[in-house]
Amino acid sequence: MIYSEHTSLTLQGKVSISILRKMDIAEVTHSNSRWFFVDFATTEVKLPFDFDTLLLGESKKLIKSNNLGRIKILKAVDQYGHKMNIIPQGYKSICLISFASTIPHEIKSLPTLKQFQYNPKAISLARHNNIQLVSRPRNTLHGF
Amino acid sequence: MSEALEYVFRGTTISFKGSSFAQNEQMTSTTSNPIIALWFAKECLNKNPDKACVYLAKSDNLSGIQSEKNVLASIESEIGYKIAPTEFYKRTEGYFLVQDFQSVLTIEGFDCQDIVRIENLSRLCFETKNINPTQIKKIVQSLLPYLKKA
Repeated sequence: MIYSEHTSLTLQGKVSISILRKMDIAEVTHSNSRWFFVDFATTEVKLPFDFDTLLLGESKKLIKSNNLGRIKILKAVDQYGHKMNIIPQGYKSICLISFASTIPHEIKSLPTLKQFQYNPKAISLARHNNIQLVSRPRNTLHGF
Repeated sequence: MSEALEYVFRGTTISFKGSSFAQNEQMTSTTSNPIIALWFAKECLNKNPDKACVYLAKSDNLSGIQSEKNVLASIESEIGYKIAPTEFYKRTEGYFLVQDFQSVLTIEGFDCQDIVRIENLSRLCFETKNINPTQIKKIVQSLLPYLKKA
């Protein structure tokens, strides 16, 4: 199966503390929240907004998780530090994101960045009910 | 801005007012790299096939407007101007339709035939090489016959 999604935000990496300070963004005190550099929004996103699924890289491969819970976009600013209540379609943003339980390992492993950066192993946030399953031709040479 | 630029480009659709956010904040994003402007215009092409365009502005005509080289968006060579997009267009030389812009860049030897979607925009910007001011001047000269007044 191939996974494709409709509404999503793609996390390029974690925002470095020096950039948070430079942009006068309050550092996070909760262990389950972080600021991220987020790629161009594919649709308009009104905050707060919830996701529940993680997809890896450009191929959007599903990251399987037993207990992901809600992933909430709490705050967003643009690249000049202006607060955004809505992330317009086509905008990059810097977002404060909280995770229901702990921050997943794959998210923790994202690079710490000082600017927006293309990351082929970026992680996209999606809603499972927006994900379409696309069938691949089945190899039935040997039956079941 | 520390670096003197002769031209800036904005890939968008004709007379696009910008998002309500851009209007409220009076911000217009531009780029010093014409190929990156083309990527943004080609992304607009998907929804606005007849209106996707690249605006050309002389930096001199934007003097007095607060501008900021966006260090957080260096892969886009982005320069933000503190002006609403509609006011920005009035200060431009005009615009080029995407098809004309792409044709000229191709003739000038740049590979810019890619299909652009919002999902691959960052990668394309990342992979786009810098263009030096002499090359940009030559590109602009070749583009001028296709310029349409804003």
